[in-house]
Amino acid sequence: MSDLKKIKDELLLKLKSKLNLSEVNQMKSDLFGKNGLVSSQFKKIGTIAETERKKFASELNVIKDELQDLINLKIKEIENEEIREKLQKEKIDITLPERPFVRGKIHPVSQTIDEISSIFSEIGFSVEEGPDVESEYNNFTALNTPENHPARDMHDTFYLDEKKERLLRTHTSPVQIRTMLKDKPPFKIVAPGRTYRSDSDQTHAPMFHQVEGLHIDKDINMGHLKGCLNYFIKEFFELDEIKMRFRPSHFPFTEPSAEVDIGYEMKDGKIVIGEGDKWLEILGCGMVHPNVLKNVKVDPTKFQGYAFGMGIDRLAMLKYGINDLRAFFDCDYRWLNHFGFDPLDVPTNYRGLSR
Amino acid sequence: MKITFDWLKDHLETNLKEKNLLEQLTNVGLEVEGVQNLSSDKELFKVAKIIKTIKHPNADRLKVCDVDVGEKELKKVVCGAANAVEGLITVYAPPGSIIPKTKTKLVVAKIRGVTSYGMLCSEYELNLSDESDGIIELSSGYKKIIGKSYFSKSKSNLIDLSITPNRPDCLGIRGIARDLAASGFGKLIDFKKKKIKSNDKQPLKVKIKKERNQGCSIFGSCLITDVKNTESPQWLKDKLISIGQKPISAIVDITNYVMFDLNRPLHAYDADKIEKGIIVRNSKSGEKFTALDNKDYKLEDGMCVIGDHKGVLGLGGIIGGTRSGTELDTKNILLESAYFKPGSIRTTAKKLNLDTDAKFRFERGIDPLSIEDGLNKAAILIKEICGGKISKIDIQKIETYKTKIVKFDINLVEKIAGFKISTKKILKILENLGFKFKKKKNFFELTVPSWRPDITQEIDIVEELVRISGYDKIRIIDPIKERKKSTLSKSQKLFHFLQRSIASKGYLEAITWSFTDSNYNNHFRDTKKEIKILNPISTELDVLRNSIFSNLIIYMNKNLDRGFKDLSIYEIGPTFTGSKPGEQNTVVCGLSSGKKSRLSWIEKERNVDVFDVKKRCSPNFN
Repeated sequence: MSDLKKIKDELLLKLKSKLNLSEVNQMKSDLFGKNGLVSSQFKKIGTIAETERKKFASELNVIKDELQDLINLKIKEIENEEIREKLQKEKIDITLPERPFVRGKIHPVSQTIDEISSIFSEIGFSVEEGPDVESEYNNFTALNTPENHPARDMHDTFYLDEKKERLLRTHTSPVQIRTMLKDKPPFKIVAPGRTYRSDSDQTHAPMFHQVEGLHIDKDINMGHLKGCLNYFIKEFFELDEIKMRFRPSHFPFTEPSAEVDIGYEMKDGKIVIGEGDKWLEILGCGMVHPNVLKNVKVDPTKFQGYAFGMGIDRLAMLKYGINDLRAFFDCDYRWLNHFGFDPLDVPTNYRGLSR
Repeated sequence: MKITFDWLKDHLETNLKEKNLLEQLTNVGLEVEGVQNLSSDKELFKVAKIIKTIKHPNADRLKVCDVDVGEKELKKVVCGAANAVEGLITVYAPPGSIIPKTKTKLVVAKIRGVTSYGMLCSEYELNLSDESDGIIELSSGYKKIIGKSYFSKSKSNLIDLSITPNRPDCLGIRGIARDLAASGFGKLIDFKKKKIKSNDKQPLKVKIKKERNQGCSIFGSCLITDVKNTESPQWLKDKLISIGQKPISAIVDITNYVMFDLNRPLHAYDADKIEKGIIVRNSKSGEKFTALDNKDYKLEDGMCVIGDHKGVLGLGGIIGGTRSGTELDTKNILLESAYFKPGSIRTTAKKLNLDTDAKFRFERGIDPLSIEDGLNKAAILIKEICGGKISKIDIQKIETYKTKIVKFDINLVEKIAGFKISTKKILKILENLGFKFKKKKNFFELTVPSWRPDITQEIDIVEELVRISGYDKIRIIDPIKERKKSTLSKSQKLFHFLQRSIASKGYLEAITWSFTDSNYNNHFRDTKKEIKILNPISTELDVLRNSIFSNLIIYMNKNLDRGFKDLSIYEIGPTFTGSKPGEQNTVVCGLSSGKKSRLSWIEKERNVDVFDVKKRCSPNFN
């Protein structure tokens, strides 16, 4: 029995000194390995007298458990110590500069188009498109603007052939024609896209963006037109109230025609939309001219409705305080980065348009 | 179209203020583009006479002038104009006045060491014309009013209106007054029309040739003999100056006055310079004439010319010629008042790149029944101012004006406008606008006034009624939030996804022109057809792009020149495969330049390489 006691005392003594994990494991195998000190005691059991045997065996088992616990405890202790040390050692300096990360940006025109589509989507408009190259017929004649009409002067057109039959569309209105020729009424569409006029100065670019709207049904009148635009303008500028006025104007493809102004004031050199006693023209609209409906085989005595067209670039400028139209198409890295939008910032009905 | 409230009051009886006028003009569709204050500061501009000039001691081209401005002392003014000579009567702007063209305020200033008290003005500086070569030369008639204001004492501002192309009738003051009166802004004054009383026939033979596409359908004229062309009386000069026109001579001023007042363009010929008689005909290719703008024009086939037996006198309805122009010594005048067809005017003016006040009016459509009114008014004024004897009016025509009748169902107003106007009010408005009406069973039969070429069908009548009643009467009908069809199509959804997906991978979205430089385009064109633009805005943007690469490379390069190095840009948009509508594809194109990463405490330096691109191109796009 004294052997066992001696083993235990020795172990206790050893465990007091500073040990690492492999040293403890070594001690473990010295005791419990195949020829370990404890294992060899078990081999003795057969040689002990029958009377003593039972007592010896039970004492040996107790000691064995005791020793195992001691060693396991020590292992645990060492492991904890190691983790603590590791945590201590691996502290990081978070004031160091971050890892470079490049996020791209969405162009303000694209963002504005998505905003516009989102607003009109909610009141039942779907999005249509048309080609950039148009026929002279779709761009002018079908829209009640015959050759020699002075209204054609307002459009400095880019032509693609000598006969002037093919051109770059000067407005998105030919999408009205395409949509109505393709389907049967009712129609309720918006059509954003690129438009072109041979004009270039501070406030004009040879390419710009427009969005066309068209709503044709049995009983759509000017009240619906006013309601639709009033809704759109409030939603787009994210205002509860807006000062808006309709003013008679002339477009060959609508009658009666109107230009729409919104109220604004200047505050610290910046345009503030909504209130104020100044007026800003933002779009043109009107009731689709019966001649246009006839041209697309829609019976004007049965169907009527409105159309509108507005400049997307200009809307973006007003909403986001951008001063120079030409910068839109200049691709200056600083400009794109400053005025661009995070691609995850998607305008939606439920979240709202802007952050 | 420039007007003043004062001139409007010749035709309109009203007690309302100018502020109300500006609002009402816009409300009826005659948009006010700008208002220039003429009264307060323009009174400072005085008629003055140069008494003495000496060469500036320190400058070869400058003169120091002693100027009589109607005060006791002469003013010393430094002037650089070559025509600033002793005895010239001109316009003087004192220190403190604001020059209309440049909007700069004059101060007493030393010019090369000599103090100048004010300035002598050119027509350009006073917004009277584009003539900036030399200072204004006024005729001796102004001698009497040296020291008085050059501009009329009218308190009326100059109002600039933007008249839409469908409203030629509003290119005359009376038409504007009529619209205003119909909308309840005052009452249109009804004049007793004065008529020429004469027993003499107009002796010059006028013939309109019956040719194909003859651009002139009616030619009215009268002869005024023994006139003395002079300067216009002050009231007439003031009127023209008040709307920014320059007085020239009584005859020219009167024809201009009638044009602005009644929208009736006229032309005055020196009758003695007309060879035998007037022939209105199509031009022959190669014919030449010198127009009143002192330019020579070579004509093509089929332009409407007014000629005599010697050749071309002028382009009908566009511009007269120098050969038969009136001068101060003109004795006998043939006054023309005609109807030219809008299409013919437009084609000719476009080919010759000519723009005149008359052309602007005729191409929009002049009242064909205003021919005699114009001749009567102008001839009587000429007689009053220049004396002489007027002949009877001669009218030649190859077509007769047919009055237009439009059937009108009153219910259409509410159907289109969404609000009701009472029958009584509807008829009142139409009457004030010059319509005549007959009641039929379910509709009215309206006779359209001859000055309204824009009105041809029922919807045009609705527009008139809604416009005159006021668009503020249209009530707002809120939209219903209901979606029956999906907003985006499948391809639109894909577009939207790609656009945002690429941006999320570090690319900046660019929007570049759909056209590009053919030199760059050729590198990316492959076998695609080059699509030339007939009238490009510049030679660097002469073709439609076959690929987006050319533009992205051009702009990438600009950014590199700006000093930005590591850059990824992309565009999603059209590329073109042909010049027919629909021969285009929507393409995404990206461009990366520089380093993917730069050496730092945490990263190694690495260039953009093909494997970055591969990642973007992989089919599942992630």
